[in-house]
Amino acid sequence: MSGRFEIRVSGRLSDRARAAFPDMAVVEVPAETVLSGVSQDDDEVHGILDRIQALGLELVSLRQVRETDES
Amino acid sequence: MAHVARSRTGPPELPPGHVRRGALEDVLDRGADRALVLLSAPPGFGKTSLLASWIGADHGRATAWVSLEPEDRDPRRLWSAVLEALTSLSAVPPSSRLHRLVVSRSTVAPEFLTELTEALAALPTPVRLVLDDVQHLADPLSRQGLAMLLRDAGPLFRLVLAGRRDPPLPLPRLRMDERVTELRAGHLQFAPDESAALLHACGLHLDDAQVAELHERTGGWVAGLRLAALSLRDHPHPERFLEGFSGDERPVADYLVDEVLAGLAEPHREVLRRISVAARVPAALAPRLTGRTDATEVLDELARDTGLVTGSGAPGDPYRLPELLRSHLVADLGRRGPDLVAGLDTVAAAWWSEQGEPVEALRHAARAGDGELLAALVGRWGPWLAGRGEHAALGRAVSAADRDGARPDARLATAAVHGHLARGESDAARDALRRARRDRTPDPDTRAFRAATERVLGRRPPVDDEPVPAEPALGAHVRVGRGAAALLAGEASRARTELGAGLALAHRAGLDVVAHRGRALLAAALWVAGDVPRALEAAERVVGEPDADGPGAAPWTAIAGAVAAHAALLRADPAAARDTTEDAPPTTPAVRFARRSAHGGAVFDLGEGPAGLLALQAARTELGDADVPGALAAAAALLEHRAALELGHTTAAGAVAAWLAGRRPASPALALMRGWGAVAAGDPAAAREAIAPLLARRPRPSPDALDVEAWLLESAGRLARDDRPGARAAARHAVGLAEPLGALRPFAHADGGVRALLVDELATGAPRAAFVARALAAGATSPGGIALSVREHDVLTRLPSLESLDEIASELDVSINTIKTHVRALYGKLGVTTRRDAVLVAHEQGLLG
Repeated sequence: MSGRFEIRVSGRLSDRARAAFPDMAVVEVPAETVLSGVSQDDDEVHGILDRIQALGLELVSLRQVRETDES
Repeated sequence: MAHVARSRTGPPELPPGHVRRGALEDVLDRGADRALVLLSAPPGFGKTSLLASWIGADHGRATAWVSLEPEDRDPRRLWSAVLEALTSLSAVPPSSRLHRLVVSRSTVAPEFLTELTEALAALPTPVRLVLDDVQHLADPLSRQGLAMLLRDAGPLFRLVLAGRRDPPLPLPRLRMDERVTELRAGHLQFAPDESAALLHACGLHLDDAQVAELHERTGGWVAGLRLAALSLRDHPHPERFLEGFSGDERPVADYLVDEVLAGLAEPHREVLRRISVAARVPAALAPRLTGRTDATEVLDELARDTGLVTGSGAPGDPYRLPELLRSHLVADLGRRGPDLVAGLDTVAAAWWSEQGEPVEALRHAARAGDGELLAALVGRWGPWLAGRGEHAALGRAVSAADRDGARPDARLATAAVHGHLARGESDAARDALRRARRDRTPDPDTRAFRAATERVLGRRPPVDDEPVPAEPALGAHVRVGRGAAALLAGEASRARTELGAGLALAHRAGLDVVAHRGRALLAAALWVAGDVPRALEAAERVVGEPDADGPGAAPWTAIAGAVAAHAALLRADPAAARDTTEDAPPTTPAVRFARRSAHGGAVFDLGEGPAGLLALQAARTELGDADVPGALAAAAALLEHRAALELGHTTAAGAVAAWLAGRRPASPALALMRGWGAVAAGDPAAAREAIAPLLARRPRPSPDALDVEAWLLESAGRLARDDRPGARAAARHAVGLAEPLGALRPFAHADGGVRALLVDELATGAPRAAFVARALAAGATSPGGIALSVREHDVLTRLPSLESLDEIASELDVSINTIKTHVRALYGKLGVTTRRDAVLVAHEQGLLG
């Protein structure tokens, strides 16, 4: 997967946990947190998912954002 | 083979307060006859502990365990560990083929996986292989390997995989066939009574409602329960903790980590943050990371009072933090400044490099993203890593360091050359070498490594020999490089010295790749020096090495193959010479020429004269202007010259003599060619004159095949002048020179009269009779055509002796007339009239010896 993508995890992240994703935009949507960013390839997305797991966060969804969604 | 850390091949110790999970172990037991057991769940669900407990004492007996690491994306590393774990099982008998398998030092070939699978299928009793953290298995070949094991390793083999993601296997199909037992997060969550047991085992005294609350909030997630237990251990108000926990909107892990850290003093938190960059922290690394001389005391105290830290820092038992906590601490460190994490990774990289652990050092340096640091480590460890075949680690470091590729860096480019060589990518290696040369300011060690690399590739770096560096791995490369250069320059004796020293260094440092090259070049140097027996021994060792045909090793194995082929030719075993040189591995023009000339000589000796001569000529044409050692040029020219003369092509013989004279005007082989040519032209006086200097060489070099040929020619010359005693003495001298070399071929091509003379040397008790028998049999045509009776054969085998026919008769317990009848029949079949000719022809026909 490459391009813009969006990951939702449950709960409100602490500043510390947010700091684990320095290259991503972090937005709170009550009861969930949305991380969004741009990836070059699958490896990069895997790396981010691994980090989410390592931090013990609960993944709600992962989706690719098409350019049309942005407008 | 890649080095396998002991800690990887075996289950980890169970954590303190481990709760044995009988119900799940029952599920695993029930599924034990299925091909695959799969545990797939995020971190912290207790996959590893459950498996370790379930396997228990079966580890080392019939269960092999490998814990995968990120570096296992290199299939060499992964399958080396798998093989090591399997071969140490008591259930694997010594006769198993597993013990003879070797993982290639360059790349894992699909054939290896096939052989591994077949060896497993052949085991007599059930064997289980556990791969923990299987998410690190990333490359297509290893995936293919897993699928192959599942499909073809037989009904007694079981695969157990645990990981954070589903492995790339056809799970729906396996489910349908009821060949898989799966445990996922839902199964692995603790049941309420298990949560209670864990909290109790951690020394907490909570009431049922509090336990239920914790279980509910963590969802039975064991990592969460453990963190909660750590927070609650010395908590003054457990009820307040629980109230806060249930009302909080943060993720469970986030909340619990906050609570754990809140219970610590800031200096202790800082110590933990700073060591969090390393998964394992040996005692000596802790002060370096924390900047505190009392770091180990702090960690020991935290281990004792909070249980947050495990391990003692002692060798083999480094300090460790729970992975979940460590991940949050790294994030926290990053929040305080991104340079902080990179700075600590740099410190860790330097420390591991000092400890002689470059792979660990490179891991930290890559995370620090510091190109200069990576380049420095590649410069320091490149010779060692390349020499041991750790090309994957080296390659990752090179590409991470060279992201911008702005300036030529000889450290990185030279390391890249070795990576390409390991994969057999000679064009890419050449390009990288060009990049390495563009660096005008390398440090002395890098310059030495670059020069050694150029020399071993047959280039001549424009530098003089600098002193051999003290670092043993670099020293091994430098010595072997110099040996290669000396060999090409025809300085065989210096080549032997350098290569011998390089081999010793390579062995001591475990540099298999360098040792392989060094020994192949040594075989060539020994052959050039005329020491055929030792050259052959070295060459056979190289060719027989595991992985000798791998893409990285093949160009050097080709050198040894050429040496073995020329040695076989000299020993009158043309079939072996032809077989050894049948294929055309990628190699240099000189080695290709050596192989093709041996092949042409073999074809000629096998009876296809014109084809052999054509092949010899073609090899020379293909060589063009490329340089070859003088001894090789001479050997090839002699083969071709003799072949041309035997076929009556004097012009062709003259052409190859001119070729050698143009290249090596001082070659003694030219004198022999003039001698042969003169004999062919019917001018024995000229022949005698031509070879005279060969017979009186002073100082006498160690004898080689050339001397044998010269003395055989001298013998023929004397025979032509009716000087039988002189001819006999010369032939005997040739035998004396040839025997230690095993040089049989010159006798196969020798003058018929000289061969007949040698029959007398066959008599029982004559010195070297056995060798002479082989010499006369050399070049024997197949025994087809002549059929002897058993009795005739008995008589024939006694003819070379000095016994009279009477003595033979009494020995065989028959009358003298019977013997005479047999002898007449024999002479008729062999087409001879004398006993001497009978023996000669019998040898030539392969009926004796």
